[in-house]
Amino acid sequence: MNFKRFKKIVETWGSDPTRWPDDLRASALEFMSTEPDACDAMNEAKSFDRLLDGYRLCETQLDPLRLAIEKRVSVGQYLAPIDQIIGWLFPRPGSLRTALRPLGMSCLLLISGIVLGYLGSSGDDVTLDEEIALLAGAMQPELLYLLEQQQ
Amino acid sequence: MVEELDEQIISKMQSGDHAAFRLILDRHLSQLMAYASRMTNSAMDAEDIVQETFFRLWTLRNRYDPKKSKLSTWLHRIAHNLCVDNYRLAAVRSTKNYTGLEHQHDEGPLVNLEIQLQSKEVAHALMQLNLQQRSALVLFHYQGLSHRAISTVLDLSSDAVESLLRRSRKKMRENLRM
Repeated sequence: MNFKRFKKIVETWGSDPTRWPDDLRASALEFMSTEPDACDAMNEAKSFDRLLDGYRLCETQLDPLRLAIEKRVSVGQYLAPIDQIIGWLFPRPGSLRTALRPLGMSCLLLISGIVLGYLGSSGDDVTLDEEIALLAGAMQPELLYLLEQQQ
Repeated sequence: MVEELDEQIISKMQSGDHAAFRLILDRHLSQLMAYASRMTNSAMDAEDIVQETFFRLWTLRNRYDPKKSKLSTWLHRIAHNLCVDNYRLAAVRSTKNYTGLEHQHDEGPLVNLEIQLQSKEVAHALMQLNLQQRSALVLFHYQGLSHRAISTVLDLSSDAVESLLRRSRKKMRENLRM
């Protein structure tokens, strides 16, 4: 510990040693007990903290606010639809069934997509070779020409 | 610091128990009101923010994970985000020459004139900080949040919080001409 480091501690964390980082507290307190400059820095921090403590809030009547919150919550006790959906899709982990829910939904959507794609396609105007070429992303002009020649 | 509620009450609230929600409300209301009041310097804005914070707690209750953070930290994070929204809205209002609540300071039955003057002076200096600096200082000094909790609320790294806190205190001293 040195003075620069000690000053940084009090300038950051204030004059209350209990609020200082645990790993620095003991060495900082020990340093303060031997260094008069450190005591001065501490006193300066204390007077600043006292000034901050002087900021008192007006006493507010919290009962009307409490009632307003309770009323609002009891009226709007149902979750918004989007939150209901999110809450259902991504439940808090509790059981295996709820943990598998997102996976189940993903599989269902995938299967639905495949079925819809299959039902929506005409099916007979694309050959197997064309499908393979499409899947491979290899629809180059030469290949297209060859496919047309085959047909 | 408000004592942390046991997991059972939080769990009850998450399953929709209004009595558990009321218990949480009772424990955290004044703490959040103090935070919002110091952040906005307006009792009306603070009440709106606190009301919205608890409403969000209720509607988003299933998103809260007690293993990740304390309830007070989570509530402060919601309130902080609402303060950010409020700050942006106030900026829009001021560009439209709106003279609404931003300069309003509620005068309550303060103990004596000296405290009242000191409060005003510190409040004014606090309002001159930017929102992040103000929030770091209020969370640390007035709300008593830990270094780690502040990094969760402000979504910053531990080092960033430390540096922010240092800058906040320095700026505050300058504002108070110390």
